[in-house]
Amino acid sequence: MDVKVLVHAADEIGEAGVKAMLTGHEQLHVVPDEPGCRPDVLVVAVDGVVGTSTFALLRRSGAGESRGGPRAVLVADRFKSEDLLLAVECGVAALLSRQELKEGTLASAVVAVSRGAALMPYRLQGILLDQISRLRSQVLAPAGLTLSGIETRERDVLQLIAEGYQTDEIAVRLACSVGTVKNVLYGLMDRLQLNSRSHAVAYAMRAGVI
Amino acid sequence: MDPVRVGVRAVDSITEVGLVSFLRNCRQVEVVGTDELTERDVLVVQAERMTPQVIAELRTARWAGVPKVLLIDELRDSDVVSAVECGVVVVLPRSRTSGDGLVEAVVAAASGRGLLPPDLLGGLLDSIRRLQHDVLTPRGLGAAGLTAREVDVLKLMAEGLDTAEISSRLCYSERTVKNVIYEMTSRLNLRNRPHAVAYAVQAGVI
Repeated sequence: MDVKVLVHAADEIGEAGVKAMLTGHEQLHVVPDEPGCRPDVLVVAVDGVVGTSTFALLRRSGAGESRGGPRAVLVADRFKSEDLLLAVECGVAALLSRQELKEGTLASAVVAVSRGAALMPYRLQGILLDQISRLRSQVLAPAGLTLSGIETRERDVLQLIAEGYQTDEIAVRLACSVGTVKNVLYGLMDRLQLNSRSHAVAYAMRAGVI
Repeated sequence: MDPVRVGVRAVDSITEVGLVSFLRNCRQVEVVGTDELTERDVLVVQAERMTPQVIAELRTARWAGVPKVLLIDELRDSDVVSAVECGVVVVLPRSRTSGDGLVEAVVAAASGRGLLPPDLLGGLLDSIRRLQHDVLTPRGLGAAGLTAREVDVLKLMAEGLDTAEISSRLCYSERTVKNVIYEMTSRLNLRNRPHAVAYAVQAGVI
C-alpha cells in the first residue's frame, strides 16, 4: 500500500533532511504541498518546542478531522506534557524526539502511523493516561458522559435493547415517544459509526457502559 | 530504590500462583495482598479477553486509584478505552511477554509511565479524538475537556479579574473559585493561572 507523505519543516535544510530520510522507502511517496494533494501522513519537523504555530499548521492541514484527515508525525526537540490532549485533537499520532531520531526511525514511524498505530515516549504515555482518567472523572462523569462518548440516556436505551425490548416497549419504559428513542439511538449510531442495533449493543457492552 | 509493591489477580489459580512465585524471585518488586495496595503500588491483572467480568474486576473500588498492568491474550481496539477507563496503564500481550518484560512493566507503571502497544495506542488516540470532536467541542468543553464552570472562571481571569472579583461575578465563594482553578491546573499539568489562560486560548475555549 502506498503512503502519501507531506513534509513541513521550519527551513529548507530541515525539509531536505526529512525528505532524505523518507526517500528510498518504497512505500512512502513524498508529495508536494499543493491544494488537493490529500496526504495520508503529515511529517512536521519543529525547531525547539512545539507551540501555537505548530498546532495552527496542523489544524490548517486538516489533520485531526475525526474521519479521513491525515495523521501527523511530530518531530521536535521538546514537547510540553500539558499540550498532549491538544496534540491528539490536532491529529498527532507520533511524537519523536529530534535528538534521538535515527536513520530509519522516521520512515518506520510514518509507515506505522499510516496503518493506524501511534508512537509516544513512555513518560508521555503515562501522563496522557493520567490526563484521560482525570478527564473522565472530573469532566465527563459529572456531565453524564463516558470516555466512549455514550451519554446516560443513550445508555438507558442500549440497556433495554440489550434486554430484547422493541422500540415501542422502550418508549413506554422510558416514558418518552418512539421518535425520541429512535433519535437517541440513531444519533449514537451515527456518531460512533455503528451499523445496527446489535453492533451498538456489542460496542456498549465491550466499552463496559452496559 | 525500594522494591515496587505489587498485587496479582488472575483468571485461574494456576496462573495466579505462577505469577506470584515468579515475582517473589525478583528483587525490584515485592508481592503484597491486593487489599493492601495504594496509589503508589501496582496491580497486575491477567485475563484471556476483556469480558464484563474482567472489566468489573478492574473497576473494583478497593483498587480504584492503583495503576494496573494488564497481561492479556487478546485485546481488541474497542477494548482499549474501557481498559484505560479502569486505570490500566500498561498492556502486555501474553504471548510476547517475558518474565523480565513483566517486571520492567511493573516498575514503569509505578513510576508513572504508560506502555501501550502502538496499535492500541493508535486506537486510543482515535477514540479520544472522536470524543473531542463529537462530544467535548460541541459542548464548549474544548479539546482538553474543561467544565463549563472552569470556562467561566477562565474567561474572567483572562479579563484581568482577581479571585474576589471572580467570586462575586459568578456568585461563588472565593474558596470555590480557588478549588475550580486548582482542580483544572492539576488535571492539565498547568503551572499557574496565566498558564491556564494561555492554554484555554490555544484550545479555543475562550
